[in-house]
Amino acid sequence: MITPGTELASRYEIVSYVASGGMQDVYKANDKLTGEIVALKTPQAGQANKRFKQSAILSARISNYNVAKTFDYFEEGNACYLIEEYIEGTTLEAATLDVIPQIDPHLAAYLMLRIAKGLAASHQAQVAHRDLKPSNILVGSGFSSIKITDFGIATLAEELFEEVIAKSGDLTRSTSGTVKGALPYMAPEMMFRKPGDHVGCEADIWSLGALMFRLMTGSFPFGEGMMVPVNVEKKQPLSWPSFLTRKAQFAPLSNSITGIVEKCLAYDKEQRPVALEVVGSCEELCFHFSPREFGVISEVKYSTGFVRSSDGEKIFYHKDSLYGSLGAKVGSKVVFSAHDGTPFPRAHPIVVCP
Amino acid sequence: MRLIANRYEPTGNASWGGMGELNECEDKNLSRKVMLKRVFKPSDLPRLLDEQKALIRLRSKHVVQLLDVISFKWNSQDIRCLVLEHIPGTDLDKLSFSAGEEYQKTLWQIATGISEIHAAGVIHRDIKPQNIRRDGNGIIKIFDFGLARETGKDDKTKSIVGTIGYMAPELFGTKTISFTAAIDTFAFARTALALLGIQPRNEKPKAIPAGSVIAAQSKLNVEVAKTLEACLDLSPTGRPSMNEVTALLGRDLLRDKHRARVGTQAQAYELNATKRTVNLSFQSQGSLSIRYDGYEFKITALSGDVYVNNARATVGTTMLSACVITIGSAAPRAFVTFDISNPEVMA
Repeated sequence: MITPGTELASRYEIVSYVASGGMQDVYKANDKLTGEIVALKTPQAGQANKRFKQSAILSARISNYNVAKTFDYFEEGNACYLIEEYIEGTTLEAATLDVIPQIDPHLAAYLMLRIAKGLAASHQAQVAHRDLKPSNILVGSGFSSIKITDFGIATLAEELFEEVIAKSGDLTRSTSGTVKGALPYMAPEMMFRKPGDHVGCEADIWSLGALMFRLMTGSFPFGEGMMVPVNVEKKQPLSWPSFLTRKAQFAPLSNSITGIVEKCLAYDKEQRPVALEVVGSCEELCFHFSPREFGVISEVKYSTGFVRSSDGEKIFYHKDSLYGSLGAKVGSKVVFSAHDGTPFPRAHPIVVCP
Repeated sequence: MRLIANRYEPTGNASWGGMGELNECEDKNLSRKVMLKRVFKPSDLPRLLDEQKALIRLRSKHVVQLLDVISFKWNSQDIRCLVLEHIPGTDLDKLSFSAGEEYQKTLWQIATGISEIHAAGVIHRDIKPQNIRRDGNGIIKIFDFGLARETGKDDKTKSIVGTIGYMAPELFGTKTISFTAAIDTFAFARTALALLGIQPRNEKPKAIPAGSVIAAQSKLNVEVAKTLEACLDLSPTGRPSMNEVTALLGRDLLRDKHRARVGTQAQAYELNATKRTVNLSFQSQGSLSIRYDGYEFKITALSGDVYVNNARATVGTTMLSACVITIGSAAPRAFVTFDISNPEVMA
């Protein structure tokens, strides 16, 4: 733990500890040269410094609005440090799965477009992420900015992966928490790879498909734990819940997105679209994005109702705008977008939270 | 070879300008090339500091990035260097363009960069094709902030500085001159014309007759030509802001790129550049036509009771995305959903 106030490289002053990513510690720091707040990352004890440097070199090659930018890398004493763009907000995992049972297709389209744009730029720089999942994506408040981070993580995990493969043949028999956490989003060519196999950018497209499935349905596409490799290998078809297409307002968009997700989850990596093609498909989607807010249902009538937003405003909704697996009751917590309307603003889409 | 600041190794490639040099180095920490910029004469050090001050405030995709500032001794001389991002690519004065989408995308990127420079409170003061580069991915980067000033703080000059031909008329004179961000707007338009082969004359600019840009470049979009003329207004207050210029260029780049999905209980329609109009009606309750004009979807005809998101619609109403059209004021009514796509200017 680095004490706040500590200055590193005569430039970066530690402000506070942010989080531990399992393999690295993250701090908020002040770049005294530019006056900017940055994220400072350092590997946890026992992690290989050489791989950490390698991951910094790779991520510094990517320059895109949807990828957290790597600014600097240095070594001091026996430790090494990476300086990255700081994003005020949280992870995609915390912004969605922790609070919303499943996201509506408009938000899904918006997220998929942004993540695909970040991947397209990385892949163009010949950098594959290889551990893309909701906890490795940072979001600003209200989903205003979406940035992929931790391009280094997969490189750090490499050593662990190599050990596991050497010991048990492939990754699927591992009991390691890191491997288990990665499995639900892991491409088959990564999961079943043999020593010396190269895993490329196609694996990120699989992970993008798997994470979109997870966000849109609340479930993992191939289950969890030891069931993942079994289900992936038998090419178990995806089962999309019926709420995705139950309402006319959402069905066309849902169908378009599930079509793209299914292509991303093709078992044969040659069959998957490349990131730029996913960007193209997402740009053709007809969707609307505006920031999401939270509220509570205050009144339910036959086909309409009202929400009290967190800042006390009365907002109208029609049941056709209600999306998701849960029904609306007075007192239900909801997440929604507010639009102009008369006599009350109108919520669309609106999703009930547990 | 000895490393500079313990991490930068000169590759031997260097270039020299009027007052300093740029040395290409390999940053050993991140295995990437960087450029070290320094001035020769101590009297030019303020320009290096002006550049540092300007670049520190800027974080734009279209502006060269300042990575570090280092001071060290070299042959017993004190040297101060800016460490800048290395941008492999071609300066715009080495490229030729013709009116069309590629050209307009380039202008949009330059305009976006200048807007972001202005938003950070900086005036560049030397916008010209030689100070703009297109990198290997087609991204435009603006560099050389040696003349940059802070808006409202040190925006006065006694001597004529800049590049004649790209300098706005208000910069010519013998007294102390105050200037605004509009000098960059003027230089932007001169740059835009230079890219088409219309090189500026080396003299104080004169007024150009309305319509002369389109007369010289008939393939240019009329709106873009008008905007460039407005940017060349002899009066700084007559020129549009770079934000306005960016918005206009972007709007035109997205012309005909939108789609809308119209869904009724029975059918789904798509509107786009090849199918621009849809007519909807329900029993005798009402009817409407929606037309795509290349920029927006608008109601062009209407009869009976038609509501958009519960507000009565009229001819001329612009459709918003994710809205519901209701035909009829009482049951039986028809509900139609309307969603619009989100094309973005690539860059």
